[in-house]
Amino acid sequence: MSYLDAVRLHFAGRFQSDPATVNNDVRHFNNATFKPEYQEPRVPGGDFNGWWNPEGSGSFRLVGCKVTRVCYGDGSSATTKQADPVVGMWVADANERVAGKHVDLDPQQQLVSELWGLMVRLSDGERDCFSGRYHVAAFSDIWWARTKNLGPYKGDAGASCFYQSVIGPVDWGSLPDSRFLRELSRAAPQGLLSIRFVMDGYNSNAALPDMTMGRLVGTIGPYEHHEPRHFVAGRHLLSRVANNVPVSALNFMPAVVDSRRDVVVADFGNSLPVQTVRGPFADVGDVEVGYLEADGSFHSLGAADYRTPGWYESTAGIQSFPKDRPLTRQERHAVEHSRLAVAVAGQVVLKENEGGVHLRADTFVHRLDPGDTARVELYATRYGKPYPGATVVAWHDSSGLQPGVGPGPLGPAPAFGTPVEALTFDECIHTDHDGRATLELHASNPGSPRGYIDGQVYGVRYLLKEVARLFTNGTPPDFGYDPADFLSVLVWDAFPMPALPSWHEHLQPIFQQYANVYPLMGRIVNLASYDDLVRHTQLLAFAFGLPREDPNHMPATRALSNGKRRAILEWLRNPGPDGKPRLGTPVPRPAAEPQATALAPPESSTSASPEESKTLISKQRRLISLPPRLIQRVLSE
Amino acid sequence: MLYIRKPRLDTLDDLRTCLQKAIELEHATIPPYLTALYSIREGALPEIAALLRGIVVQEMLHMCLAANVLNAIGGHPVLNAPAFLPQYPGPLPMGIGNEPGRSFIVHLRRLSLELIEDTFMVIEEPETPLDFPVAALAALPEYRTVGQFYASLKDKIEELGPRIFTGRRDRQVTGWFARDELFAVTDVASAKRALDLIVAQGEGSRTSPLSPEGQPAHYYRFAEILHGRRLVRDASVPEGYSYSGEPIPFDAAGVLPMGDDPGAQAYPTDSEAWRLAERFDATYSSLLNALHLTFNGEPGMLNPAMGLMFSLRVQVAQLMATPVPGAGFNAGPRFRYTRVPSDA
Repeated sequence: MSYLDAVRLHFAGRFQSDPATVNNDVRHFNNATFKPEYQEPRVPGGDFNGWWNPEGSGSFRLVGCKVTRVCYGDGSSATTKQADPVVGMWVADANERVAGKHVDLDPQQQLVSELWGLMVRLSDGERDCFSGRYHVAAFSDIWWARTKNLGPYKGDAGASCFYQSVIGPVDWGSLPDSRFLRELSRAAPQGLLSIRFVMDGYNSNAALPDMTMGRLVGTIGPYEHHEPRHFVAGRHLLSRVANNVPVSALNFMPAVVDSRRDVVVADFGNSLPVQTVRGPFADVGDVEVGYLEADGSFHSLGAADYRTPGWYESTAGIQSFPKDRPLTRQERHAVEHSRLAVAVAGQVVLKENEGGVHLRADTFVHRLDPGDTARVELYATRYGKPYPGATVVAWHDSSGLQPGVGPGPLGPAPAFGTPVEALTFDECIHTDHDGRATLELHASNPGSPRGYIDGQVYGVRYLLKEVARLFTNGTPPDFGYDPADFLSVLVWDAFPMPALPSWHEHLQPIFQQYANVYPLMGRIVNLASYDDLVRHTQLLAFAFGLPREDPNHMPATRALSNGKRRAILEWLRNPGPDGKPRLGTPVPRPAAEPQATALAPPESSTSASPEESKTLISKQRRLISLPPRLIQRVLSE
Repeated sequence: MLYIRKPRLDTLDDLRTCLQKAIELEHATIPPYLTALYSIREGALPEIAALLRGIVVQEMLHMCLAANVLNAIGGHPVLNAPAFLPQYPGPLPMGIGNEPGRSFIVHLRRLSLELIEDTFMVIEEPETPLDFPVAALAALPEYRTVGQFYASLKDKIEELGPRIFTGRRDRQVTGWFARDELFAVTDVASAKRALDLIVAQGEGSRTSPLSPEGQPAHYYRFAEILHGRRLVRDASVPEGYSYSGEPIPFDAAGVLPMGDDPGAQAYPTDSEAWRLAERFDATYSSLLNALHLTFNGEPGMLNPAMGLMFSLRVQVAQLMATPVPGAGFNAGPRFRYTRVPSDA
């Protein structure tokens, strides 16, 4: 039953994310126009240069995260280490390999950053109770408006988002005498655990303490094999939406009905606004979980304890309703057949869709080479139960993408999402008897539409027919869908393997670009220098040969097609007659220009923006639009 | 010249204990050498950086070779314990002294010619009959030079013979180094070859300053830095070699202003210097954890260990560029081992 199972632990602490930011502006990928100052930090109030952290390593770390509470199968919990030794233990990342990496999909899709190569372990400071690989996942449901008062902070620090994934299979090892670990290992016999954490208060301002750090709370419970890995198979409480962002007092949130314990478990972790950056929750009045009666009135099952000091850290925002008793038979029947809702100060602000329908893709970020197919698993539910025979429509929709440019006179950004023919899929599919459907995304060669940067980035949106019908003239309703529910896909250009790859003919532009946008690597090897690369062939063949999931994989940005990677490995492993990777002969290289450029420059390009990176990037998104042919289709079905 | 207290070396268990000490000894010089190397500004003093890097890499090799020998005779190398790392400043393992009975205190300092002469060349000074009359050592039977220590290990291996080679073959670690440098130890001959290589690369032979591969032994490479010239064959002098080759310029401006012995200082908690020093310690601890696993049944962990080495390089550059608040100098690495996850 995922991290919302009765058996779960909560933890709280901080995180560090140290992204390299030269690649935040897509135009920095243009080798022909790259300037050394793009590797310099941004000047406060002035030039953006390489943005705020050009020498970032890409590392992501869990910092000082400790277990605050363990919850047992019978609904009881412990908050002291006397009661259960797991309380106070660390939830930490790797201590025998390098940190995981925080990676954008593309400069033109920076709002679904993934974690690669992260390990998660539970440690008492001496031994690990468990340790496992965090399955690659992207953040979702970024909520820009979470923080009421930013104080000295800016943009990104006010935002919040969540990561949900699976860790393991973990090795249970020799466990200390803990009731919690006994229950958890019994509930997860395969060793697979469900983890979700919420991050907010991220500081990207060097003038303030804790640059590159933020607040994190999280929950770990058992994972069951039939569940989605990256969202809750349960009930989804939706906010109203305007201009692609939630506009209710609370953000989108999940809940489940725990039929064994007869309670509704609701997760407010990424849903309640906070007063100040990393501060306490804003007091918005009573926040109640309940359901909607047939006449639309709200039946409360109880109020969240969010105003209790320390509640967020000790629960990660998760609470059961009703609090002190099981659901009555009548309530149980009601929550299984009517819409769950959340009311703030007596007003319903979040509720399930009409009919309790919900659809979500499990893995929503994909990297494809030409010829690859991504199989995207979609889960449709009604009141949390599988929805068989549901009609799903999907279409090219780049509203979740961004031009990926900062202010400054670097010219327009390349257009994204074209040609559409390079990413094809069925526009209409149906769920099976388990309420599941597989959307196959087929990639072919986009043909360098962006010129200086490899491949093309696409957005694909999907909706249940019931929701698509609410669109008016192609524009979305203000309720019924989550703008975060869409697919982001990077399709790389074809790169046929040369018979004898050489530096000048094939590899120099690739390495030059990497040296430009990832300057930190220059401390180890100058990627723009043939001679220096030759001195490090063993190291490079090792790092480029590692699986993409490995934390030491090169490039750390995971921004290299398999075609190019194969050519690099061939070049490194099969040297020329002089024993060195082949140098080749210099070739004139015309500047690679995009085939088309984005129509309008971003609104913020006129002056230095006070915003920070993700905030700035987010403002460059556009609105969702449903094509007329699909409107016809859903109306006729 | 360094002396160690003569260890007990009677039984197979004694031999294992001594090889564990050898691993610790080979490791103990890495933090001071690395600190000096790391203190060189990016791109500055390329010749000296290359010399230091070469020496550090060989110390790492020696540590690996000693661990292979220990594994070959059924021992279990331990690299992930707090006591594995010396405290800096502090004595080297095994009561090492520059005079018998007197501890030799090693500091973590930025590169300087004084550091090369007063510390590194003392650590690596070879044992030669001329320097160390037999009579003087005979008067102090409880002390041994490092070269004698390794010779005594070889003698004991020979004496105990093939029957002690009970270690699992799949615990032998190879890779990353040349095949004739890091090789599997499976019998008396390969064990002796491993220990010979450690001594030869470190000290050179008694007749030549060069190791078998023709490179100057560590002492002479440090002397090259001190004298500012390569050591080359020179028929005009009776010794046959002189420091008269290509220049190896030293310029203090090429060195970052790291304060001495970062571990002995308390960087203000929550300062950037503290945070980066904590992170460095965490990464170094991870490296020792990875190496421990490498030599305890998971030889593939050498790859993650290499990844951590490069991660250290990147982290330390940031650390050493960071001023310590109010101190007038920059922060540096502390080389502390901890299993407790960092709060930084």
